[in-house]
Parts: sequence; C-alpha cells; structure tokens
Amino acid sequence: MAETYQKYLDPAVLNEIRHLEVTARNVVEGFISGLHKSPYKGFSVEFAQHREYVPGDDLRYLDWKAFAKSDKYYIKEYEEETNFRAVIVLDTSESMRYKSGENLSKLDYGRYMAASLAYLIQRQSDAAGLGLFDQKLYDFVPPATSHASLMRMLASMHERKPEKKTDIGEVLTDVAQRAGRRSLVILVSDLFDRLDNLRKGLEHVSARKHDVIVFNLMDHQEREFTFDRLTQFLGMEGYPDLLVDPRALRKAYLEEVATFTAEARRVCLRSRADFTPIDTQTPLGVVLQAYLAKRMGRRG
Amino acid sequence: MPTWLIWTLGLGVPLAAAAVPVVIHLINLTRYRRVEWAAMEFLLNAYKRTRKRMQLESIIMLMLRVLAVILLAAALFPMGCERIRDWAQDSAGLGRLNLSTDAPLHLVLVLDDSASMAYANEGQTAFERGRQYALTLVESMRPGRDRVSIVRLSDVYVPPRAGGVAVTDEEAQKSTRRRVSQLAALDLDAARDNIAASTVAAVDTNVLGAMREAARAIEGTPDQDAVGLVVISDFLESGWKELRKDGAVHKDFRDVMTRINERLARARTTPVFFDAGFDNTQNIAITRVECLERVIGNGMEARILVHVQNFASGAGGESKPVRLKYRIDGGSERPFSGVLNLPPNRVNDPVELRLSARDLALKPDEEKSGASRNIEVFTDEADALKADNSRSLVVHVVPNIPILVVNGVPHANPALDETFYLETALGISSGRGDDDRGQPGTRITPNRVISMRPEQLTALESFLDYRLVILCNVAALSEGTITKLEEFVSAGYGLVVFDGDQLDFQRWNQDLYKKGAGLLPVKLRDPGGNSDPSAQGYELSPVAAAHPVVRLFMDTAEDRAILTTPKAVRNWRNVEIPTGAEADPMRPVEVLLNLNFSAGPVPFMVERPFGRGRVVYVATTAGERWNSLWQGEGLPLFLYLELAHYLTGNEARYSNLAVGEPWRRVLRTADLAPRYTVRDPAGTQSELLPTAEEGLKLLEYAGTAIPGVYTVTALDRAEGGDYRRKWQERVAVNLEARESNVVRLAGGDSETPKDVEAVLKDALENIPFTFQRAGTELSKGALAGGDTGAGLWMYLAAFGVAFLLMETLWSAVISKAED
Repeated sequence: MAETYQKYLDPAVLNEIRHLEVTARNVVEGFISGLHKSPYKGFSVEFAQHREYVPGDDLRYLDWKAFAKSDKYYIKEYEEETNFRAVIVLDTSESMRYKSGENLSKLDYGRYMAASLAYLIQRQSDAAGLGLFDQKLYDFVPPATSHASLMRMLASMHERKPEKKTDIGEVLTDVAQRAGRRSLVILVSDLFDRLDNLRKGLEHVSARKHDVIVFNLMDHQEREFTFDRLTQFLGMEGYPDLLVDPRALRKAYLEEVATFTAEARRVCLRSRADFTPIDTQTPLGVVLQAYLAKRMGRRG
Repeated sequence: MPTWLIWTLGLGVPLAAAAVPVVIHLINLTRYRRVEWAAMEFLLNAYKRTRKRMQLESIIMLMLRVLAVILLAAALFPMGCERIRDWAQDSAGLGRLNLSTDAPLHLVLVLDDSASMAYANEGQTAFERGRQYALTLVESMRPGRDRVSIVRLSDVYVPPRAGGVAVTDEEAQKSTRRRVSQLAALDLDAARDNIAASTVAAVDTNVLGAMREAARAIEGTPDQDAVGLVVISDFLESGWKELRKDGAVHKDFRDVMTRINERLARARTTPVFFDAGFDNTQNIAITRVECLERVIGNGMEARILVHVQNFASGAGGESKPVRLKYRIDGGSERPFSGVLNLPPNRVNDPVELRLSARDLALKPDEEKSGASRNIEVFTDEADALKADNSRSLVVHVVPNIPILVVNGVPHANPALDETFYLETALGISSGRGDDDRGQPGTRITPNRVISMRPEQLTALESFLDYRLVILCNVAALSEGTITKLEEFVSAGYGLVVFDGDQLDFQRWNQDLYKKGAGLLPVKLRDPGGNSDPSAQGYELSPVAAAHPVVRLFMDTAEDRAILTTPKAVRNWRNVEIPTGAEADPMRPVEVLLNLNFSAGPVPFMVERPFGRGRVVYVATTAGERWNSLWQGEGLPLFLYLELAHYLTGNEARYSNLAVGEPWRRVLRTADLAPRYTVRDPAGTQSELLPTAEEGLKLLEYAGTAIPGVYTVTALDRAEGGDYRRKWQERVAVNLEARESNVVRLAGGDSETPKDVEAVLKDALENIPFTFQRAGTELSKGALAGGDTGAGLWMYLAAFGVAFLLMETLWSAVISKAED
C-alpha cells in the first residue's frame, strides 16, 4: 500500500519543485505563506501525535501525564494551523481516462500533479485538501497539514475509477461550500463540459472569496490531432461514435479546440481565475515550475 | 471470338481496372482504427461543419484515382488496351446493331474490294485490315440465329464511261448479268469462309452502286428481325469524292442512305463506316497508255503515249524519280524513258514510246489475217500499290485496209483525173517510200487503194473484199451494183460519194436516194456556183465540231484555219435534207461541214447511217473540176484521210479496257462463227454466246475482273467435226486509273480541313452513323516504338504517373499545412 502511494510522489518531481515557494495569488486573511515557518508553530491547538523524547527537544512539549502513566518521556506534537489552505479538485470523469501512445492518461497526469502540489504545500506547513469529482464531488479531504492527510488524499486518488460524465458547475459550487475559509482552489480537469457550467461554478467559488487556478489538462493528441488514417472514434461520456478520415477533419477540429481554449480562458479571467493549458506530454516538473514561477512573480 | 468474351473483355476489364480504387476505398473503409476519444464534442462540431465538403472531396479524389488507374493501365499496356478499346468499339458498333436483342440479326456488309484496297503499308494491305474487321464482326454474331449479306464492289455492275456512278434502270438490268453471285443471307460459317477467301478484285470503287445493293438487302429484311449495315472501305478521294456534299452524286447517295436509315432506325441501329485506309500514302501509277494511230498497218510505226502520275497525300507528298520500260509479247525489257522526277499530284506530260515498224512487223504466217501485239509498259520499281505499276495495251496490226476508189472521170493528165489526188492522199503510205536499199519505207497509213472505173463494178461479185468504197463523179450505178453496195454498207462498211458534173442527179435520187430510204443521205438538186476556174470560191465552216472527221481541225486556231481559210469551192451541188416522211429518226442526217455561200450556208459534207455502216456525201468533186482544194495548204489530204480513217475505224483492234469494263465487238458477216471462246489471264477458258442489239450481232464479254490479256477466239467448223481458228483477238484489261489515286478523302478548305469522318458527317447530314478507324493496333511498329501511337502512350503514361505523384504530394501538403 505504501509503495502504491509513493508512486505518486515522484522524487524527481519533488526535487524540481523543492526550492520553490508556494505563494497564494491573493493575500489570504493577512498572512503570507511560503517563505517562513509558521509563527504559531508549537502553539497549535490541535494535538497531532506523540513521539519519544530525544535529547535537545524542548521540554515545554514534554507530556507529563504520559510520563506519569508509562514512566517514559513523550513529546506532544500539535497540528500546525495556518492561514493558507489549498483544495485540489481533480477531475475523474470518464474523459480523463484518455491517453495516446505511451503518454500518461490525463487522470494519471492529474494525480501526479495533485500529489506533487499537496506534498509541496504541506512541506511548507500549509494545508492541502483534495476533492475528486465527475458529476459530483467524492472523497473530499479537507485541507490539512498532516502527513496522514496526504496519505488519505493519495489513497483516495488511487481508488477512484473514471466512469461518469462531467458536471463542473455543480462540483465547484460544492467545493466552494466545503472549503470553508478562503482557500486556493486548484482545478485540474480537461474541462470537457459546457463552459456555461464552468462559468457558473467559478462564479460560486469567487463569491466565496476563494482563489482559483485552473489547469486545463489535454492529451497531446487531443491538442494536435495527428491521426493519419481512417479511424472510428468511440465517444466517451455518452457521445456517439464517429468513423471519419481524420486528415480531412483536422483543420476544423483544431479550430474547435482553439475556440474552446480561448473561450475557457476568457471565462476564467472573467472570474479572476488563473487559466493554464497543460499538455500531458510536457514533463510535470516543468509545468509546475513554470506555474509557480509565474505565481511568485505576481505575489506583490 | 464469342460475343460474351468480347463483352467480358471489352467492358469487364476496363470496369475492373476502374473499380480497383473503388474496391480499395471500400476495403479501407472496413480496415479502420478504433480509438476511444474524449474530445468528442470538438470532433462532432468539426464534422458537422465539414461533412459536405469532405464527402465531395472524397468523391472527387476517388474519381481522380480511378482515372489515374485507367490512364496508368492504358499507358503500361497500350496494345492490350487498344485491343480492349477495339473490342469495346466493335461491341459498341455491334451494340448498335442490336446484338444484345434476341431478334435475329441480319448484317449487311459492304466490303470495298476495289483495286486501291491493295495499297500496302508495312506488309499489310487496307483490304486485309478491312477483312480482319469483317471477320471480327462475324465472329461476334450468334451462330444459328444471325446471318450476313455481303456486298462486294466486285459484284456490282460498273457502267462503262460513267465511272461506276450513274446507274440507270437499263444499266441496272444489265448488272444482273454482271453480278458474280448473290451473297445474301449467308449463315455465319459461309459468311466467314466467303470473307476469308475474298481478295482484292481490282474493280474500281462504286460506292453508290454498292449502297443501292445494300439498301435492297436491308429493305428485304423481315420486319421482326434486326438489321445492321457496316461499310468497310479505304475512303479515298477517287471513290468517295463524288459522294461528298459538293459531289456530283451526293443527292443520290443521301437518298439511298436515307432509305437505309429508315429501316435501320426501326431496328434502332445506325450505319457503321469502318476506315481501313492509310494516311501518308504515295503511289506511282501508269494511268493510261494510248496509241495515236487509229489503225496500225503492217510496216507502220506506232506512237504510244504513256501517262504516269505520282499520287500522294499527307507526309507521302514528295517527288519521286522513276524510269519506264516496255516489252512486247513478254519479250525482253527495254527502257524508253530517262529518269522522270514526278512531282506529287500533278498531271504530267505523257511520255512517248515510239515503236518501230520492225517492232510490230507481221510474221509471214500473220500477213494475211494480221496479228495482235501486247505492249506492256511498267515502272522499274514496284511501290505500295503494285497493280498500277504496269499497264498493257494490245494493238492489232493489220496487213492493210483495202479501199476501192471508183473513178468517174479518168484522164491521162493527173490534173484532170478525178481521183489522182485522192488516191495519192489515201495511199500515201502504200509502199511509195521505199528507201535506196529496197527496204520498204515507213508507212503512214494502212490503206491500200484500188482504183476502178464504174463499168468495172458490174464484174464484182461483192464489195466485201474492201473496207471502204469511194464513188467519185460517177454518172450512175447499175441496179445490181446498187444492191451489192447496199449489202456492203449494211454489213458495217463505209461509202463516200463525191459529186460532180458527170453525176445524173435525178437518177441518183431515184436509184440511191429512194425518198430517203436509199444509200444517198440527201436529195440532190441542181448544181450551184460557177464552173469557170477563175471564178470566186467559197470557204468551208464546221458544223459538227465534235465529229471525229471535223474534230481534227478544232484544236487550235491554226488547225481551224486549215479548214476554213481556203476559198476554194467554186461549184457545188445543192441538196435537200430529208424531212417529213423521208426523214427516219433511226437514220438521222448529220451535216458535218457547210459551204459559206453568200446567199446562205450550203451543206457540203453530210453523213447518214445505213444498216451497220455509214455513208458520207460530199457536195463537190474529189478532183479539181469544181474546186481548187488540192492547190492549197493540204486541206483535202487531212480531211479525206481523216474521213477514210473514220469510216474504216472499226478495223482498229487495239484495246485498253479498264477492269470491269465489258469488251464488245460488232460481228460483221465475215466475223460470224459457230463458236466463240474467251481465255482470261489466269488461263480459264469459257464459251461466249453472241447477242443481238438493235439488229446487230454482238459479242460481249463482261468478266474482265482481273487485269491482264484476254484472248477471244472465233472457231469455225473443220472437217471431222473439229473446230479451227477463224480469227482471234486479244484484249488488254488494266486497272481503272481512278484506283491509282490514293489521296485520302478530305473536305473543307486549307484553313479548316476536314477528315474522312467530318466529310461523311457533312454528306450524311442528319443521318446518324458510327465511324471507326483501323488504329495502330494492327501496326507492329507500335510495340517497337516506331509508330506515332507510341508517343501518345508515353504521354498518357507520364500523365498518369504525374497525377499520382501530385495527388500524393497534395495530400501530404494538406497534412502539413496546419503545422
């Protein structure tokens, strides 16, 4: 089980993003997260776990009651509270199952993205949560800073099977409510839904003062459409099948994609959401590095 | 080849080839990749936008691929494709003949077997091409059901002098004798055998006659049967020019084709014209050989004119050097011309061949009856049409032509003798030109003149030993003499009557005019003019300019002056042309010459037939009693010599018939024999039966179907029931000169020339027809790359390959364009 979880924590990926700072695009309740450790560290109100005392530990956190019962020294560790909360919302609809060639499927790519982001956020003592969705939100893991929370998120992503259609509007409304305090909502999806739904969902999220980053995941083939012979396309999410010579259709298809991308970007910008199209052939580290660099540049 | 196989190969193979891209396309439709696709909404939207354009492009591309495959196939397999094309064309043609119906098909095949069809190119004649096509047609018909009628031009009567074009009812009746056989409604085996055995018949092209035969065959087809017409010819100008829209018999051709088309239309077929001819032709031909002497007597020279011409069309139009040779009766060859450089399609001056008296001299055993000589003229080198590289002329050399001159006023003084000058003129060649060594001189005429006085005539049993009798100023004739003269002229011989002061005209009117029924052509009246030798004379003027006697003087003004200038006739006899009851429409009187008397023209020379012979009356004396003609420029020499030639002309025995032209000979009493035979050039001997026409006994032979020398022999009964030769005549038969003209049928002007098909279209106007040409498939040069067709196929191959490359590149470019 541990190995399964660990596979989503690609050391190479983490190494690339280790020295980067996660900054929120907007100020979250007067605190700046990222560069410094939380000033409230050690004063957390929420107990997390015990561990054995080792020389050098601050004696203030020695649990005397436990010592009285077990005659052993334990140190009490508390969950750190933070002002930065991030909820990663990963699309697990049927369309995310698509992959071309040796590439990762969009879902797998999204899982790597979510896991990396969650690990990065937690490593900086910020809270990361997760929600999986298709037509509705499943397995919502509230934002937390604990390692156990990360494990829950990974397990949840692993178990989820892509089966159903997408309804982003409903899901984002749900996320906006569950995220609680103002949070950073990171939407990882192919957005294969009506853009009207996306607009409504983003409006709900913005109304709750959440900040939103939209990663629009698409497979390389979905972006370039380089099929070279007669192909029967089997529709996902209830679409009909289509037998067609893709070479004759390529120009019109690419126009459709470009139109959609431009429209999605416009919808996001209108809701003050950041929109980033991602090709699943692009190395994940490069994508996160580019994104975080961009976020850092806009911090001030 | 069976019909089903032709259909299968002719249509199935091209369709199969054309279907290859379609099949590939359909197979590809079943061999597609299946892909689960997430961005289906984009795809569906794009599909909805481009669906119609995609379908159109797909169809266009498919059609272009089909075309490319066909072109490529045609380029890579030109021979095969041409065969298929021809089969397809054949099938198309036969399709128009309703082969696809269940009705029995009657195919009328007009096969041009005229001489020009022997024109050869690369070892194959036009006739062989046409015959192969005809056999292909027959092969494609259904045995036991269909039948074929064959109309060969050699089966069609060729009227003499009409070039085989104008067929009158009378001639059509005669043509029943001429038709070799009626090849109507043959079963397929018989038709196949007949076509395969057909050869070029050396006749001339008589398309109109053949089409009339075809029309008869077509109209005789039962209504419930299908009927078709196929005309196979080389379409040369010589045979088809008169059928063009501007041709002399276009209306007749159009009419007969309209008749044919009415019947074909009911069977839903159209006439098929198959062009078996060649382009770029050249043919050196001896077109005519003629003898300038009317009658050749023993010891005479003979002048032969040889006409030779260079016929060319298309790229063949260039000058051609040629030498001429001759031989007599198969003897040694002798050249008689230098190198003649003949320009194309130009009528050249004839080349003269002068035969010496020795060349034609009679052998001792021939000196009594004479003999014929076959003079064969030929080129030194054979060309594409061999049949006209030589031409024969048979001349009959007679010992002499005996002419009896009856002198009504003999006198010791030649100037006062009635016939001295006349005898001298007629017998100018009668041995008076012997040279110093005692050898006979060259004779100019064949005449042998015998002179008698009138009283000697009663002693003659008959005049039949003579060929011409001339009565000069004879006072009167006894009844017996008149009867013998009438028998003589009736038998086909000539009589000339010169008037004069001794002539008792009233007795002549009574005994010889006989109110228009006698020998004398006109009724005589009182003489006119002045008998004083110093009195004014009057000149002659021609009336019947085309008459053989007068025509000699009509060629030039100088010639005419010889006849019309001398004012030499002082006295003449006034005559009365028979009219009313004395006139006989069967014996018309023709005035040949008039005398220009101041009071009005007076008949001077008058001709009238009598029986089979002719009588000519001259209204002045043969001597100088009434005229001074002999003192002038020699008018009487030419005039009377020409008159004698004319009246003894049936002694001429040279012949130069065209193939198909019947040989005829009027049988005089002396020629009659119990049996006649003819031997053709192939050695086949057949009997000839004399016929009668207008009271004349005729010997006629119409089977002159092949060039060469025919021999007609009259056989008399001998002792013991055997036959012995009474007389023999040879007849030369040559190719019709028109057939030498191998220039292709064309029309229009130099700026917009029309080919054969266009000319036919013009001529047939609204009558639909199918035109097919013998193509390069029969030319083995096509495979060797030496034929012009190879260039076309190379072009098609290049086009096909280029198209495929372009199509491929185009697809590739389209794929890259969106990058």
